[in-house]
Amino acid sequence: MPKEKFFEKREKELTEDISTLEGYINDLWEIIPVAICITTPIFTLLETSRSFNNLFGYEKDEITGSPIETIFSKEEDLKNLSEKLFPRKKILNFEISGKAKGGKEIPMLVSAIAREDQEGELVSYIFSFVDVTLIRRVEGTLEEKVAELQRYTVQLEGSRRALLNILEDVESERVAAEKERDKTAAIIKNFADGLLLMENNKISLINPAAQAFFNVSEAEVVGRTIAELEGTAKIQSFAKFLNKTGADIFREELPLNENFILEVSTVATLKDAKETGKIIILHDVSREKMVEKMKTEFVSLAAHQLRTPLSAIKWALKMLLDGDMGSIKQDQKNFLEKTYQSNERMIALVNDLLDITRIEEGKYLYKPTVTQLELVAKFVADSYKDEAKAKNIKLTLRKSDSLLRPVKIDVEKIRLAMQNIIDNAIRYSAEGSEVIVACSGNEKEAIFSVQDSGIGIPKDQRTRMFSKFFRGSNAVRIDTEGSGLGLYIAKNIVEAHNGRIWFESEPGKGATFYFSLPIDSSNGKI
Amino acid sequence: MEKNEIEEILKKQGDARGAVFHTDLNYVLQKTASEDSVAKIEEKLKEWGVNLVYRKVEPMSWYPVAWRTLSLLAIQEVLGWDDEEIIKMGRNAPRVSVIVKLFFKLFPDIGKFARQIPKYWTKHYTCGTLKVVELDKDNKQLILRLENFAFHPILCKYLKGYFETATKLTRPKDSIVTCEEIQCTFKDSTPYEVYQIKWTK
Repeated sequence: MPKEKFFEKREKELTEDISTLEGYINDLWEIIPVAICITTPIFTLLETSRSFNNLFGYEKDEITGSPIETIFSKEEDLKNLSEKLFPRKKILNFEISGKAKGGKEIPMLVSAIAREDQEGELVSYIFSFVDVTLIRRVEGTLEEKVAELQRYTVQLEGSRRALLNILEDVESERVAAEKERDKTAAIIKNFADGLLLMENNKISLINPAAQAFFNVSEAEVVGRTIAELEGTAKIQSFAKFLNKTGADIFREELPLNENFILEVSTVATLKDAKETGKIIILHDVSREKMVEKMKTEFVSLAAHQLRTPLSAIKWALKMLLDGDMGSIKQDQKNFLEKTYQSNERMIALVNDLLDITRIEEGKYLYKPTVTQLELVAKFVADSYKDEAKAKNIKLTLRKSDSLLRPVKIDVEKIRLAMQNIIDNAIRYSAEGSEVIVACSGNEKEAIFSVQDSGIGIPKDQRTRMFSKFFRGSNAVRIDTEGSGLGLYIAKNIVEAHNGRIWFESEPGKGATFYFSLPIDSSNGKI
Repeated sequence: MEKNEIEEILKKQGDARGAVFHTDLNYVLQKTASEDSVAKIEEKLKEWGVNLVYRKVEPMSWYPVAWRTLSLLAIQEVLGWDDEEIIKMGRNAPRVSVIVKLFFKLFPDIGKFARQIPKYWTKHYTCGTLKVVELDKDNKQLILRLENFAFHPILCKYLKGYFETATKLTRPKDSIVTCEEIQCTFKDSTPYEVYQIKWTK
C-alpha cells in the first residue's frame, strides 16, 4: 500500500474512533447523575453535564462560556482556588454556597481537580457539585434533635436524681411504715380484746383474740360481708347483732352464752372526713359480769336477810314507843325514837339495795300504764308536804301552762324516781327556801323538774352524780346519812322508760333536776 | 445566491471538521428553536447541490469547506440574518465546539495560547494557514493572518466572531476582547486576511 493511502486510511480510522469517543463522552455528559463541569484555566465554563444544568437551572448554551462566579454565591469561596488546585494534582474537596439561576443559594460539596497536558501545563479544571441542602437540613434537624436530646437528658438526669431521692425517702418511709405495721400487727395480734376491721362492708382483718371468741379461723371470716357471716353458725349471733344494730355501737353487750358476754364497740375509720370502714372492738366482760352478778346476788341476799329482822325490830320499837308494852320514861322514849329512826333509815337503805339488785338483775319489772305525768308528780309532791313543812321549806307544785300529752309509764317506778329527786331537794335545801316541782312538755316528751336553792353540785363531781353510792362532797358534810343510791335508781328507772335525766346547777345556788319521758304514741294501747 | 456563485464556491478545495456544522445547528436552534428552520436550510442546501443533513454529520469527519461556506450562506438566506448575526454565530462556535473542547488548550498565558493557534487551525481545516504575525503583550494585541482561505466574505465575519470568543475564553471575566478583520482578500485583494485581536486584561 502506498504511504499516502496508508495514512489516509489511518486518519479515517482515527477520525471514526474520535467520533465514537465524542459520542460516548456526550452520552456520559447527558446521563451522569453528578453535576460536573469543565472550566478553562481561568475558570470559564466550557462544558457542563445535564445534572449540572438541572442543578443550577441553566441551559447548556446559556451557561457555557460564563465565568464560574456565575454559580458561586460567595467570592471568598473562589479565593486562591487556582493556587489550591494547581499544581496540587489532587482532588480538592470543599464546601461552597452555590448560586442557581435566579439567585437561589444552594449549599454544595465540591470536588475539583486540575487537568494538565503532557508538558505539565494547566489546561482545564473539572468540578463536580453535590447539593447538600437535604444533608444540611437533616444535619440541622439532627443537631437540633441532639441538642433537644441533650436537654431532655439533663432533665431526665435531674428527674432521675429527684426520683432516686424520692425512692430513698419512699424506702425510708416504707421501712418506717413496715416497722409501724409490724408494731401495729403485734399490737393487734397480742391485743387481749378482739378486733375486726371492716372495709367496703367486708371483714378485712380479724385478730387472734376475736378468732378465739368465736372459735373461727381467719379464712372463714376475712373477705366476707356481715350478711354472709349470718350463715356461719359460729359467728352467726355476732353477725346478727351487728346487722340489727346497724349504726355505731358503744359498749353494747352481746351475750354469746350464759357465761360469755362480749362488750361490742364500733369506731368508724375516716379518710378525708369520709367513712372508709369500721373497727369493731370486742371486749370480754364475762368476768366483770360474773363478779357483778355475784355481788348483786350477795347484796340481794343480804338485803332480804336484813329486811325481816329490821321489820321485826321496827314493830317491836313501835310497840314500845306506843306504850303497848307498858309506859316508858321520857328519856327512854327519846332513846327509842332515835333507834326507831335509825331502823327506818336501815329499812330504806335495804329497800334501795333491793331495788338496785332488781335493776341490775333485770328483774325490775316494768308495768306500763298510760297516764298524765303531772298527776304522778302531784301525788309525790303532796306526799312530801309534811316533811317540807317540818323543815320550813316551801314545796310548790307548778302546773303546766298547757295540757300535757299522756305518757306510758310504770307509775310506781316513776314515783320512786320522783321521790328520790324531791327527797334530795328537800334534804339539801336550807330552811325557809323553796323547792319547785314542775311539769312541762312538747309534742315528743313530757318533762318533770325539781328546782331547789340548796347547796348545788360541785363542778368537778357532776359527771359522777348518777353513779351508784356517789354523794357530793358538800352533801356529805351536811347530811351523813344518805346512801348515794337515789339518783342512780332514778336514772335507771328513767332510762328503762327510754327517757333522759340531767341537771343544771350552780354551786351554792341550788340545782334543778330534770327527766323527760317520751309521749305515748300508742293512743292508750298497752 | 447565483448559481455560478455557488458553483464557484463548490469548486474550491479543502475540508473542514464536521464539528462546524454542529455549531451552526446549535446556533440556529438557539435562535429559532425551530426544526422547521433547520429543514428549510437543509432544503436550500439541497437546492444548491449540497446534500447535508446536520444531525448526521460526524463532528470529527472531514467535509468540504465549500459546504461549510454554503451552510452559512443558506442560514443567512433562509433566516434573513444580517452580517452581525453571522458574527454572533462565530462568537458562539468556540463555546460549543467539540474541537475546542478536545484540542484547544485555552492557556491564560496569551503567549502559550498564541503558539498553539496554527496547529489548532489544522485540526479544523485542511486548507488555509493561520499564522500569528504579532503578539504584543504590552499593548494586549494579537495579529493573526489567514492565508489561502478565500472562500467567501461570510467566513470573514464568522471567523471574526470565532477568534474573539476563542481569545475571550482565555482572558479574565472582566476583560473586553475585540477582533477586527484589518485586511481582507475580498476587499483589499490581498492573498490573506489579517485579524487584529485586542483585550483589556
